[in-house]
Amino acid sequence: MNTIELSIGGMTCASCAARVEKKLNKLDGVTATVNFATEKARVAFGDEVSPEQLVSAVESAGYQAELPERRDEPAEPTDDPTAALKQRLLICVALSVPVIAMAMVPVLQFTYWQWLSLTLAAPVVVWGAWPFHQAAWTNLRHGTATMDTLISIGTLAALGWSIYALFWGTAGIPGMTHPFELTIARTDGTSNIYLEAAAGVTTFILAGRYFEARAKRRAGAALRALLELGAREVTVRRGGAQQRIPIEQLVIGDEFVVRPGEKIAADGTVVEGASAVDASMLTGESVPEEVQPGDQVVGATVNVDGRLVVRADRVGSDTQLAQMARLVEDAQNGKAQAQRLADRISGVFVPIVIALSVATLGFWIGSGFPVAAAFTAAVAVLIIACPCALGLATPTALMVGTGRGAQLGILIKGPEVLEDTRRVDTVILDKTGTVTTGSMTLVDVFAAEGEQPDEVLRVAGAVESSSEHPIARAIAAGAQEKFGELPAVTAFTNLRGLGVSGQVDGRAVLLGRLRLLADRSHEIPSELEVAVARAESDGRTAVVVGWDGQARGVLMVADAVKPTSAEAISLLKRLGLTPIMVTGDNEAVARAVAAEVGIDEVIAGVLPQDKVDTVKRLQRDGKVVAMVGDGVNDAAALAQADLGLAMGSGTDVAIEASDLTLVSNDLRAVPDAIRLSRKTLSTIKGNLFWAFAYNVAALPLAAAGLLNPMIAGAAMAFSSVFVVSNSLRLRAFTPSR
Amino acid sequence: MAAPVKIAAFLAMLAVVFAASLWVGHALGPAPDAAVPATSEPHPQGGEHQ
Repeated sequence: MNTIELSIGGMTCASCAARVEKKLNKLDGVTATVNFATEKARVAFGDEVSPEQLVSAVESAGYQAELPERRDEPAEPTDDPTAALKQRLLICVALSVPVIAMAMVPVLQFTYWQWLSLTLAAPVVVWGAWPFHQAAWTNLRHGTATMDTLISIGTLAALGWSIYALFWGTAGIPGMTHPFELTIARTDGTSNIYLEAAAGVTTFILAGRYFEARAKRRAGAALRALLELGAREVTVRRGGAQQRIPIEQLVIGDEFVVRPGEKIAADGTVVEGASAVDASMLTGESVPEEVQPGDQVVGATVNVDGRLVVRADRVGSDTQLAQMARLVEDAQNGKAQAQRLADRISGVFVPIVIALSVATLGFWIGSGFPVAAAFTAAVAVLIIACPCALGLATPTALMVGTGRGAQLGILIKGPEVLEDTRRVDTVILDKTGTVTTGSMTLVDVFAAEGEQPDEVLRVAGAVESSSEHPIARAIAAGAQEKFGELPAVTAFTNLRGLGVSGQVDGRAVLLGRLRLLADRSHEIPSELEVAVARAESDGRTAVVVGWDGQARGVLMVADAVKPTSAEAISLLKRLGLTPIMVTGDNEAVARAVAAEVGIDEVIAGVLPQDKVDTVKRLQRDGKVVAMVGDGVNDAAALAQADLGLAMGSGTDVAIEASDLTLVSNDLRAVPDAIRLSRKTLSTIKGNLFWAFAYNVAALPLAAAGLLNPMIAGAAMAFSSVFVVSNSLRLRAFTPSR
Repeated sequence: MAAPVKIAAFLAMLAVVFAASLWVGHALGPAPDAAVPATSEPHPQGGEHQ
């Protein structure tokens, strides 16, 4: 089986992606998945099919396909794909503004204004709206209608009628004006032009598409961000010499050197050296893991302080990082993209309008009127049916909603996201970094009999202040907070992976795990052993401190719960959502944290791929799931969830894989984000209703042959003003924080 | 339903709508001399000449 990734062009909605997928899968031995967000098709195919056949299959469905270019050099940063759309929009704005102004302001209607209007509007309708015409044609071939169909029919009908009126009717007579009258009277269609409606609709809708495209462009960035985490070069030991090679040339069995601060190039086994490895960007866990010969290490994690020699066990697409990238991609592929609301409405509206137009034609002919007169009314129906504000309904609400969101630290990626927030009923929260701070904090000090807890903390804090380890930093910070200045330390030694030692006030102090102190012949009081066992069962890290041959106390360090988490959970519950916490930690730790914040349901001991499975399982059970996370290990689950929310402190990958990003680390941003999104969605719906309502109200006038350009203009203006002012109401959204 | 079938069904439906509206127009529509949805007269009321 061969696998290829095709770039697909011309897809405007999720059903386009489904069509391309269906067309490819019809070929013998072809299995294809099409990702609408990344505009890519991953195709597995046998020898009986050539890549060119795949391209022609896509093209026969009415879309464009390109084979991937072979690159030996690193990929150049690609041009902004929205640049072409922006250029099209700007040209259309420049051409449409005078057309609309001349049509709406009678004073500007100079002797030959209608001909200038035609000159300016024709390129807008033909070239500017070309993407809509193309999409409408593709839709027609598949027997469906979307917003593009409505726009295409409306603008072409308006332009076609205006050309007819100018060349064959009386509209082209020098000095013709459109008076500013909103009277309903029978008019001669051949003296009216609707160029401002055609140009206005095209430009407004292009503007809407541009803003949507800008939001969509980011969707494919998750994979790029994930793959950029990996090392690009590696120092490999071959034939007794060290050489620097690109990561692609590393093969299984190679031994490579990882210096302090470098990323580990591939998954492997440590053969020499010892160091702490920071896997926080992959796992979200804040404590670096100590490794020594024989231990497994994962590619893309960072070697903190020692020099390591690692034997590569898995390279390229077999590494854990590559597997995570596949998980994210699969989740994105599997996620059904919601069809645009306007497209769903148009799918029903377009056939009705066409039928109404045909009925109008039949009615007036049947009544004995001339065919030209009947045709005027029928075309007027098509012209008025395309609401100008349709193009504004979604983007204006989205712009105001996202703008208000940005002020509150909530970044919404696109309109599809909002659809999902309405239906969400379950919120999965990752524990580390989401419910908790994700960093270690000193939570308790236990002193052995006859010792003072303050003294234990003062001495331990002094020794730990010389260490960079996160646990040491937590203890030192706790001590400094309590005592300010700490005593000086001499003869500090870092006992890699075990603990630290040093001289404080003439005492030989040793800090570390219980086993370290026992191994160094320290006497361990039984109450300390009990305290250590209890701390560990509560999910805390216990550090034992001793001096002069005796263990004196235990310092308990844990990932503390954020102070606002409990309030956030109660706000989520008030929104009718069920919070569930998932974590890789053991059940006891997870339960303790969940109880503290008020979460009843806990799924503990899950691996990154299990998080995706948890989301999938809940979705299979009929739940609509929102996932809140921050680590790379959450990325696939964020992409799989119906709504992914990434904490701002999270990794780029998590942020890119999510639908909403919360800039602050305050969990209360989650209920605010859901509330704001729901409100934005209801505004969009209200906008769509009114965008259609003004035009639908004018439909009977058009069918009765009473439409004139001023009524069409008024419908356009009223619906646009309503839509914009309705959207602006979102600025008044108040957060619960 | 395949696209050609869907389109054919829609066109058939339009033909039925057209036929029905012809009949309705003939039976219930206004007389041509009473009111005009649009005409091809050279000097219309909607457009004005300066």
